[in-house]
Amino acid sequence: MYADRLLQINMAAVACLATLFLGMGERSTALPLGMFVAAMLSVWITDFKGWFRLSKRMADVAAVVALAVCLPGALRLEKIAIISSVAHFIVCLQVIHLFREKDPAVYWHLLRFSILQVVVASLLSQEIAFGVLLVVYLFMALAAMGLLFFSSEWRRHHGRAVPPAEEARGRWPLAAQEAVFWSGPTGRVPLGREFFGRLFKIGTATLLVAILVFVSVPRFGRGAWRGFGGMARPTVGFSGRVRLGELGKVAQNPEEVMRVRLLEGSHGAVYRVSGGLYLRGAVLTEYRHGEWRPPAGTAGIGRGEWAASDPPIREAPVRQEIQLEPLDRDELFCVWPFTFVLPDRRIVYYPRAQRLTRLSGLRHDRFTYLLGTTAFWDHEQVTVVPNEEPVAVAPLLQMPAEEGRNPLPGLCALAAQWVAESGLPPADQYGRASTLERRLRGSNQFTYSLEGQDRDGSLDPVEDFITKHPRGHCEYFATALCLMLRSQGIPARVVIGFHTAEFNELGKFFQVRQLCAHSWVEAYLTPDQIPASVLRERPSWQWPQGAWIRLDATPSSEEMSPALSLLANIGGLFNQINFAWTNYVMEMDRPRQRDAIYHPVADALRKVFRAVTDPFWWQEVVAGVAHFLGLDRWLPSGGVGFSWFTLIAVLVACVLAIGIFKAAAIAYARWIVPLRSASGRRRGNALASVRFYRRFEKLLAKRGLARRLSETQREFALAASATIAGRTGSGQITRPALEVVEAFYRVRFGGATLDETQAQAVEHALGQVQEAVARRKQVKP
Amino acid sequence: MAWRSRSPDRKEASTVAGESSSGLRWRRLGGGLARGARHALGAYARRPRTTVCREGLYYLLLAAFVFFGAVLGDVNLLMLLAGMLAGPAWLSWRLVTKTLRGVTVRRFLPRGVCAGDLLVVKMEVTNSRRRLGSWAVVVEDEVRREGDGRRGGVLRPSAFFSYVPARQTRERTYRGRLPQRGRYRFQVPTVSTRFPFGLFRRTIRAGTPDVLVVYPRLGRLTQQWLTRHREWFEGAHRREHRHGRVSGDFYGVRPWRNGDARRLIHWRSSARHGALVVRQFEQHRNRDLAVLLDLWQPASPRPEDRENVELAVSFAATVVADACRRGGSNLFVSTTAPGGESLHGPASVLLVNDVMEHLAVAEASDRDRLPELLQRVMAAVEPGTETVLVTTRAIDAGDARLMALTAESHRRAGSPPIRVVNTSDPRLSDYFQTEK
Repeated sequence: MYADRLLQINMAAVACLATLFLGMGERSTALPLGMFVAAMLSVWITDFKGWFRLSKRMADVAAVVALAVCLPGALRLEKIAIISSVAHFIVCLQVIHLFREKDPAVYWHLLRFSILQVVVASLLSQEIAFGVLLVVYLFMALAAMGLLFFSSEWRRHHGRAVPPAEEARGRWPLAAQEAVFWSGPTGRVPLGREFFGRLFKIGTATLLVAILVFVSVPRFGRGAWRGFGGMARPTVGFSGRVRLGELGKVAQNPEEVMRVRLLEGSHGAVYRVSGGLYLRGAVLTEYRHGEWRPPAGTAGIGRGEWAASDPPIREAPVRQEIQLEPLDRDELFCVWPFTFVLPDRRIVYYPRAQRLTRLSGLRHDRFTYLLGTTAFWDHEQVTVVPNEEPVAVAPLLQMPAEEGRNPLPGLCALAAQWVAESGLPPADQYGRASTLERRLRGSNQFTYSLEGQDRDGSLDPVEDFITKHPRGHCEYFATALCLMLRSQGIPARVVIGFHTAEFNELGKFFQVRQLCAHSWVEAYLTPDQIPASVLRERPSWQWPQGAWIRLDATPSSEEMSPALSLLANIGGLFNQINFAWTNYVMEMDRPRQRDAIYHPVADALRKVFRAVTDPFWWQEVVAGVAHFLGLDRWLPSGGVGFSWFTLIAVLVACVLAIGIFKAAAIAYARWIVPLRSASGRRRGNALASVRFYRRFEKLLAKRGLARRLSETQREFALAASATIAGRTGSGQITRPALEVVEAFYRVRFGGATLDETQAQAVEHALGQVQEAVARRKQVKP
Repeated sequence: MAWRSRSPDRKEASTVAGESSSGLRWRRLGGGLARGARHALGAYARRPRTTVCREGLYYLLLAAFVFFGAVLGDVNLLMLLAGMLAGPAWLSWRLVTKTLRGVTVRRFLPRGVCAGDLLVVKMEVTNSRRRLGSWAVVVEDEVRREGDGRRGGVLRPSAFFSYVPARQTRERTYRGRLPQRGRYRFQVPTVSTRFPFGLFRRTIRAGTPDVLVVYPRLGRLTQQWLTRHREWFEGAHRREHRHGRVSGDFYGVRPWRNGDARRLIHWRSSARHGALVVRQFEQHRNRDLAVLLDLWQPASPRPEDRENVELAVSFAATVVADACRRGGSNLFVSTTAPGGESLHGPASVLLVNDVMEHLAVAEASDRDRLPELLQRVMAAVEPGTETVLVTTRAIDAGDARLMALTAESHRRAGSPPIRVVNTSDPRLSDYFQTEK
C-alpha cells in the first residue's frame, strides 16, 4: 500500500512537471495549473478513495473527444500550431489516464506521455529553468519507473491468492484439480533506504551519461535549434546611434555576442594581445539635441572586395577570425583598420560611413568572418593608427548650435580651462587631446554609473552631465570628450562598438558579451601633428593621410563600480550560469563543439601522450618524487638519467607490488572472508534461531518468572504456565508455551529451520502468551 | 562401462554386415558431430542471456526517436533528453548483467508429499559478490511430471527475492498443490532479474535438478473396515515377540524427543549427526499382511476408470500406512503395474516410504496381470499372512485363479483366504473415505 501510494503521488507529480515544461514553452500558466488540479483530484478521488474511475471504454471515448478538440489546431498547417496541438492532445491523454484505474500498463502510458510532453516542450523552451527542472524531472521519473517496476514485480509474485481447491465432482476428490503453485502472502513492498539509494545513484550516473552523450555526439547541422522562427538576440548593449538623456538602467547582459580569435603566420598561430580589444561597430559624427548620428551617405562600394590601393602598413596583417552570434542588426564588428584576407561576398563595406555590414538575411545564423588588421604593434592594440582615406574635417569639428547660441557653454569652458591649465601649445593637438581624455577620466569630478539620471530638461544632456549631474555611462563620457575636443579645434568623432579584455584561455579567443558594448572617441591628427615618439616607434608605417588617435575617457571598471552587494553577486553568478547554459548547451553547434570540446580534449590527449613518451618528463617526475620522499641522495648526481638498472629496478618493484597485492587479496578471500562469514553465520544463526525463545523468556520475565539453571526449557515453560494459570485462573497458556519450546528444541538442538508456516505458528503462540500475560496485568490491579 | 562393452560388438556386427571401415569412420564422425552439436545447443540454451523486455523495447524506440530528432534537428535540449533516456537504458543493461553475477541457488524439497497436500519448497539465494547487492531476483523452477507428455504440462513456480545484500543469503518459499501422484522433475532453476526498471531481463541457470515424489493421497479407514478386517481374519495365527522394553528388531534411528530414555540414545550416530538420535526397535505383535494391488483399466479408460485406479492406489497406500503406523507385523506389497516389484519387510516408517514411492509411480494397464501377481504372492508370502487384494474391477468369487490361490493358501498351513476389495464398488466408501 505504501509503495502504491508513493507511486501514485510520484506519477501525478511527474505528469505535473511535464506539463509545467510545456507551460514554460508556451508561456502559459493555465496549462500547468490545470494539470496540477487534475493530478491532485485524480490522486484523491481515483487513487486514494476510488470514488471515480474511468473504464477503458470511457477513456477511449474521452480520447476521441480530445482528439476532435485538438485536431483543428493541427490543421492550420503551421509548425507551431501543429506542435501545440499535439502537446495539448498529449496533456488530455495524460489527464484521462490519471483518472483510470492504475495498472502497470496505465502507469507506463503516463510515463511515455510525460516524456513526449518534455520532447515537445524542448522544442519550445530555451530557458535555464528548463534545464534545472529537467534534472528534477529526471530523478522523479526514475523514481516513478523504479517504484513501478518493483511494485508490479512484487505484486506479480506475491499478489496471487491461494487458489481454492476445486469441488470434487466424482468419487476421487482430486479428479477436478489441477497442479498449481503460488508464492507467499502479499505484504508491504520492501522499499528501504537501499532501494532509494540505488535509485539516487542511478540518477546521478544518468546525469553523467546525459552530459557525456550531449558533449560527445557530433552535431551535423548548420546551427543549433533556436526555437520556431529562429532566435536572433536583440542587441541590448550596442545600437546604431547614441541618444543621451534617456532614463532607465543600462542592461548588463552577459550574453555572448561574438568570439574573436587573433591569428598570425601561415600556420594560424594564436596572436596574443595584452590589454583589451576595441571592436568598432559604427562611427557617429553629427551631434544634435543629445543624439549622435552617423555621417550621411551610406552607399556601399563593394561586397568584401574592397582593399586600400596603397596600404599604409606593409606588414602582414594579424588575422581576426570572428564568430558573431545571431543578432538583430547587420553591423559587423572588428578591430580597425581592417583588411580583407579573402574576398567575402556576404560582407558590404561603406567607406564613407565607416561601416561594415553583412547581408540582412544572415541575421538569424551564427556568422563567421575573417578579416585582417594592422592595428597591433608589439602584441598590443595601438592607440594611434594611420588614416587611409581622405578626411573631411568640417563635420568632425561641428558643434551643436541652437538659435545662434552655444548650448554647451559649461562644457566648452571646462575644456578651455583644462587646456589652459595644461599649458600645451595649440600645435600640440595630440597632447591637448590626451590631456582632455586624462582629465575627464581621472579627475574624480565625473562618476561612471549605469543607472539612469534625472537630467535638467532645459539643458543639453551632455551640458547637464558636465555642469549639474556628473554621473553617466560611457556614452556621456565619449560625447563630452568628443565635444570638448571639437571645442578646442580638434576633429573628433564618437565610435560605438565593443571593448573586451576577457580572454578565454581554453579556446584562445576573446569573449565579447552584450555588456561589453562601449563608446569611445577618435580624434584626427594631420601628418604634422603626429607625435615624434609614435613615428619613431613604428618607422615602417606610412602617415600620408594623417592618423586617428583613440581616446577613451570612461573610467575603468575598478573606479566605476561600487562595492557589490551579496544580491548583486548572486545575480552575477546567475548571469554566468545563464550564459554557460545559453552558450554551451542551447547553442552548442558543430564549430562550438569542435572548439570547446573536441579540440581541447584532443590537445590534452596529445599533451599527455607527448609527456608520457618523453623521457625528460619521466626524469622530472622521478626526480620530483625522489625529492618529495627525501631520496635525492640515492639518485646519481647531476639529475636522473636513463639507466637500464633503474628501469629494471622499477619494473621489478612494480611486479613485486602487484604480486604482494594479489597475494593479499587471495589470502583475504580464501581465509579471512570464510572465517568472518562462518563466525558471522554461526552467530547469526544462533541468534536468529533462538530469538523467538528469548522473546518468550522476556515476556515471562516481565511477570517475574525466570528460568533457573537447573530447569530445562520445557520444565520452565510448564512451571511458568502453571504459575500464570494459577494467577489468572486460565490454563490457555500451556499449549502455546509448549509450542514455543518445542520449536526452540527443533531449531536449537535439531538444527532445523522453521519454514514460514511454522514461524507463523510460533508467532501466533507468542501472541497468545503475551495476551495471557497482559490479561494478568489487567486483572491484578 | 556398458557403452564400452558394447562398442566392440557394434564394430564386429558392422564388420559382419559388410560395412567398410571408412563407412564406419564416417558414421562415427557423424555421431560425434551430432553429439557435439547437441552439447553446443544445450550450452547455448543454458547460456546467460540478456533480452529486451516489451517495456524496454518501447522505451528504446522512444529514446531512439528522441535521439534522431535531436541529431537531425540540432535541438540541444532534445540531445540532453536523449542522453537522459540513454542513461537508464545503459545502466539497466549493466545492472541486470552485474546483479546475477556471483549468485548461487539452492532448492530444498521435502522428501515426499502426498497428492493434494500442501507442498512447500524453500529456495535459497546466495550473493557472493563483495559490494553490489542483488535486487528483484526471480528464481523460477520448471516442474514436469514424469510420463506426462501433455503440452503445457510444465509448471513454472517462482520465488521472488526483493533484495539479497552482498555476501548474504536469503530464503524464500513457494507453495503448491500437486493432485497427481508421480515423480516430478525439477529442472535447474532459472534465475532472472529485470532490476531496476524492467527494461531488460537477464537470465541465468543456477542450481541443480531435483526429483520430488508425490505419494498417493492417504484417506481414512472407517471403523467398518477395521471391524470387517477383524472378521475376515479372526482366529488366525498371531505372533508376539516381546523381549523387554528395548527388544525387537532394530530398524533405524530417529531424532531425540522429549521423554526418550537416555539409554536409547545412539551415541555414535549422535556424534555423527551433531544432534541426539535414539535407536528404534520394532516388535511383531500383529499378523503379517500382504496388500496386492491390481491396477487394471480398459484400453480407453473413462474418467471413472481413472478414478477407480486412484482410489485403489490411495486405499492400498492407506492400508499400508495404517499397518506401518501400528507396526508389529511384516508387510508384503505388490502391484500389477508394469515393471512393478514386490516390497516386503517389517512394518516401519522406512518401509512405508518405500511403498509410497512404489505406489506413487504405479501405472494402470489394460493387460490382465493378476495371474502373475498371484503367482508372485504365492511364492513370497508366508503362511498365515492376511492377504488383501485391492482391485479396480469386479472379480468373481469363483474365479479359477483366485480359487486356486485360496486352495493353495489353505494347503499351506491354513492361511486365511484372500479378501478382495473392489474400488469400483460404490460400497468402498463404507471402508474407506478420502479427504476432500
